[in-house]
Amino acid sequence: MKRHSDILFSILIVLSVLVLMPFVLRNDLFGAKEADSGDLPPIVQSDEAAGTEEAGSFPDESASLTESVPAGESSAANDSSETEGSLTEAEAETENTAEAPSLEEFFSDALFIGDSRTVGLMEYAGLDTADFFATSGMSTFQVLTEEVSVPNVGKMTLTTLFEQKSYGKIFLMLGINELGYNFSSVVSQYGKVVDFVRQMQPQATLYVCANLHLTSSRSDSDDIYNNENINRLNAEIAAMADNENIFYLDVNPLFDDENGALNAQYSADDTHPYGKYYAQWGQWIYDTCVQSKPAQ
Amino acid sequence: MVFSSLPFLFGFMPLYFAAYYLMPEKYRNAVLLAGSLIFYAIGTKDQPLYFFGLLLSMVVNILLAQKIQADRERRKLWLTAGILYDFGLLFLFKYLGFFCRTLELLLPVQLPDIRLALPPGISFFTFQVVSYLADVYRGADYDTKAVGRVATYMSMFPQIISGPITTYDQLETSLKKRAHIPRIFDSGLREFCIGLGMKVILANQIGRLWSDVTAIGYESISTPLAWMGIAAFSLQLYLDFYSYSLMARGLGLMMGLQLPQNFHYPYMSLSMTDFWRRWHMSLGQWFRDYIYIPLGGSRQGKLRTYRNMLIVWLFTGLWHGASWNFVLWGLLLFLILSIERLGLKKILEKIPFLGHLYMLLVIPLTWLVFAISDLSRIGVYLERLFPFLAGEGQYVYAQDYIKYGQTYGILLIVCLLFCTPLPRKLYQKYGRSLPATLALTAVFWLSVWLLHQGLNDPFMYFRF
Repeated sequence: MKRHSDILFSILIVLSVLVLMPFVLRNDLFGAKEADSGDLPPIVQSDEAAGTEEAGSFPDESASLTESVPAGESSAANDSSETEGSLTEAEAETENTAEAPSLEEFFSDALFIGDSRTVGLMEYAGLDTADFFATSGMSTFQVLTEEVSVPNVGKMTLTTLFEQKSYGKIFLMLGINELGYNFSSVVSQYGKVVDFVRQMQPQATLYVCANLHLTSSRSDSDDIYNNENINRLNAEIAAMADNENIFYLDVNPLFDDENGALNAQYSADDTHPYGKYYAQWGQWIYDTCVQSKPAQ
Repeated sequence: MVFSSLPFLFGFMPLYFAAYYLMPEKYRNAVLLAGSLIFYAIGTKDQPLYFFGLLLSMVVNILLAQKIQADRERRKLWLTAGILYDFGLLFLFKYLGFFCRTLELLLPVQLPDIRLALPPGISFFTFQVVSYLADVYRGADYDTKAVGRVATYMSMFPQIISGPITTYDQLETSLKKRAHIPRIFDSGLREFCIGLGMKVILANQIGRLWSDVTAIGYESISTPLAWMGIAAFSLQLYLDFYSYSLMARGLGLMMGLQLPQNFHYPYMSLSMTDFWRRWHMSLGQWFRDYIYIPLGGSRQGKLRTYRNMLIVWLFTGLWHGASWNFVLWGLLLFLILSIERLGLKKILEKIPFLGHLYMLLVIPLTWLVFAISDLSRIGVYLERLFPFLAGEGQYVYAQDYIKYGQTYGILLIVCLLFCTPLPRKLYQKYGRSLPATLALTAVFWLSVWLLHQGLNDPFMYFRF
């Protein structure tokens, strides 16, 4: 009996290894890659092609709410210069000579909804007058149900927040966390979130924001989280803009390098800009929105 | 292939130990040698030349040792040849790029930008084989003709990647003949699992706090977070390396081999002098036996002693990495150890409270120079640690330490606890009781689960 207790641990570990082995072999050592890529949307070589292809299959309900954007326009929408162009058109339509609000005033009726990049804006951009409904790992699949701690307001779901407060501007930046899921279901879910926000806060201008790129080194080494997939999703998000109530904002040109990836000098983890750059980001949002669409 | 990975735990390790114990005892060294070569071949599968480089280096060093032993008249020549060969390769792979960049700063020359991938374990391997050559040169009665045994000593998989650096006499007897006792095997497996848990559950997790701090950017962290960050780095560095040494030791014990202890609660030291006798002990012993003492140690006057210390610490710095911050780090350690030698150490040892307080400051500050390779960034970090140097940072989220404290606070405390002898004492007392055995099994399961999560669930480690 004593001899057994001498090697009891070894017996337990050998048994553990035997029990876990099939699982590990299937999921981690051999099966992992195939299983993952099975769920992955086929990677389309060009963003334009992806945009056009998916725009046609966009769910009807969302399309009607977002005033439906022609496929041709959506395909080019992830190009930042085009986007700025469309914002300038909006400016021309609603030309207004009233004095522009200060940054604090501008954001005082603003709500940001997003993931860790939005958390970065909350913590480091100095946009103290805005509200933030954001948490690391947030996705469109969780945002309608999850309780989030909103600074100065409290912990609540988005529905409760919308019942309590009314916003003039809502900035929505989500999508990167769900890149691994089926692409059309991600786009459809994004549309549902847009619908929800429009229904609950019809008075607010909704800014759908491009997901920030990753640095080349991350993007080139990741099958799921790469700039190709981000651009493909961003194009779909851009297509939801109607330039009346919903506008598309793409901050990427501010932080991109010459390859259209997040400039490696701005980030240590290839994913998030350093804290100090969020202030530039916040200022850029203000500049872009105020220039193109003065205070409402 | 690191020990704390699923391919090692569920592939290499069970297959290797099955082969090892199925073989009759006289073939077990052959299994160890073959297993070690396979282990290295898997680790260098993307650079197959490195595997043949290892084989070549083993052959060269085995032959040179035989020459040193046989040809006593010209043994100095053979030793010099060996040292030039081994350190030449280390220089080529590890320091050439750094050397060229430094030369470009000093001279108006343009040199090619050479970046060779570092062969796994080359720093450890080089020191180990040089110790072997030097011992034979000094007349150690090693059987240099026992080629298989020497080759096994040079390439043993538990230690080839990250040590501990062993001398041949530490292993020769047990490589010749060793007992395979079930209870010792069990103890080895326990050590391995303790190391695995320490690495996966503690070191990897606390390391994320340092990654977070780096991702925020040093300009934008509050002073409390700056201290938490460097504490996290210090804890990660220790637990990571200590856990690796434990796993190596455990693997050795599972084969009846005694690898030396590499750490002895360094963070409990009262002085830096003491710290470096308890941290990465096999490296310190190597520098002592093969550099410091041959230079004369402390027996040739004060001036020579400090010169020898300077040489040792500059090389210690460079051994850890080829960049200026490691040189600076070595110089800083030399400075601190010199001051301690001049009298501070005695005071610190007399008043333990003062000693611990002093180490609480010196440990993280020296690791800071170790952690950050860009010298100007070290300055930025120091300004955040000591805001009176530069005032408040520009884009600091003032509550950041509360946020990260909620996430990492408990983990920080647990990691600190594992720097003390308490967990080991408890383990020695109750480790073989049934609850402890079950708990350690649970540690294994948790580690496997965390490793699995890290592979398959990008949200775990990479949530945006």
